[in-house]
Amino acid sequence: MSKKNKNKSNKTGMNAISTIISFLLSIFLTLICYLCGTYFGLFNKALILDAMNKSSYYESVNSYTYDEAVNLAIPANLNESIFDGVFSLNDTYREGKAYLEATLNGEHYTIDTTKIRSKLSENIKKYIAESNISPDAYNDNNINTFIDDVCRIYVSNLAVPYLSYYNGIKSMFKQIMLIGLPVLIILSLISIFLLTKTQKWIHRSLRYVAYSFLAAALMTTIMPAFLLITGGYSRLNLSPEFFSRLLSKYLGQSLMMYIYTSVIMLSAALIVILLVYYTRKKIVR
Amino acid sequence: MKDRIKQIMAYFYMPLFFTLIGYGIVYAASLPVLDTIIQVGNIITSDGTPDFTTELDVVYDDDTASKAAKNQQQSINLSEITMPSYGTQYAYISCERISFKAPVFWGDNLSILNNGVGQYIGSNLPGFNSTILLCGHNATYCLPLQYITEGDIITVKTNYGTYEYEVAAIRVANMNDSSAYDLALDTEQLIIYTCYPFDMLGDKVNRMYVYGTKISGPTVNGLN
Repeated sequence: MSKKNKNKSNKTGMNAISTIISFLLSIFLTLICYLCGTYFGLFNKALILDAMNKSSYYESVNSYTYDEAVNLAIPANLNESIFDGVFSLNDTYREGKAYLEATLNGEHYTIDTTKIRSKLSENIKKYIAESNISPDAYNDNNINTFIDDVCRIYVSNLAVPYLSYYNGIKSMFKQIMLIGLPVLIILSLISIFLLTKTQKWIHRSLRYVAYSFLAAALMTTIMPAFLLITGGYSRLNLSPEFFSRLLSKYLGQSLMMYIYTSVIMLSAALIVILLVYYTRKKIVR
Repeated sequence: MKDRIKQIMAYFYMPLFFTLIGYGIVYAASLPVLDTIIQVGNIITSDGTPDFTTELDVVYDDDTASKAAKNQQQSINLSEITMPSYGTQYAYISCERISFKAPVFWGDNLSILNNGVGQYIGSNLPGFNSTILLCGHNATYCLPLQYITEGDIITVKTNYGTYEYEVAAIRVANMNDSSAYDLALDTEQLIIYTCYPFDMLGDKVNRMYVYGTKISGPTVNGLN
């Protein structure tokens, strides 16, 4: 083989190796993006609190609880008026927020229903007195059981379903992050180092690095963008409706986190492309 | 110049190439579980905006029921009956003497009980030679049942025939007493239950059961 052909063959070989290392680097960077996007998105407490505020969660809980309680009052021969002033939005917001924060911190919190019980009891007594209901027509046991059922509905609606599993899954993910993220960063740095060794000129190595950053940005964007555009996450068949709305808001915000990480990756790619330009210019001079 | 264009184009096709390979690997790796993932996705999402309304459906038609009653036969084929879906009114129940009347729905959730009498979906339709288990709120549709006595006639009108049941027994039992009804009977029995006592405030632990024996109405053929 002539020297020219041998050099050409070597160059093709080195380009192939650089392409493979660049592809691997893009995979490592994509995984870093997904890990960071998941940590700052899906497992971000602030997003859950924000989604609850934006989806009118507390107002919906009050309204839904009221409707369920009225349904319970019908067979109990009690009038809807007994619920006047029972479900206060301020109390629901306070208790709901306290419950959420405690549960997300891994603590136990019992939702306080004392005010509901006392107000409901007072209203029922008032209703009995105003309706001249005979003492034979009620007993404290039945009334208290009814009040217990109403409080149970309130607590069950206010407590976000499946939240107790959230902390367990989050701590598992944290373990993955603690090990996975440093490993991926190290592998990425090794890949960048190897790329500098496979090419004669630094600007050519940096081109392959730029390809990786661009590919990582693209790979991180595609799935979340697809879900955001098609809106599949907002058509969840979960009831009650207010929980479905909360989950849609929360998932939408979480998906945006992946878009933000891919924008960061794209910005990094543009910086590397600029570096390619300037290093090449230096050589040409 | 050509080289410059090639270098610039490389910033587009190389990342695209990596993306295709990357997603191709993910697709190939997830092939064994892809069908399961898609099926789970289809279960938890809907094609359009999810419908959380509690509107009830109606298949019962008074004219059709009257025509069916007029041309009533001893038996009717199963294929001629439209089975109701959950939350659908399929019949109308009444007892003239005590002014008891209510639409009958397939299913027994709170929304149904606010609009009529609900049927436990583990029981059978009229004409099926088994137990028909209905329930209703004592303060609304089932309030007149406090006046029902043995010997009263309860009528159930459906699109495929009109059924009459004679009240054979009335019993009060605890709500957890499963001996109050038998869903495995091979003779037709109508059971309506409601909370008891009628005028007691608050949660009630007892239920009043009204048992009716079939005296007329077409038998459904083709049941296996």
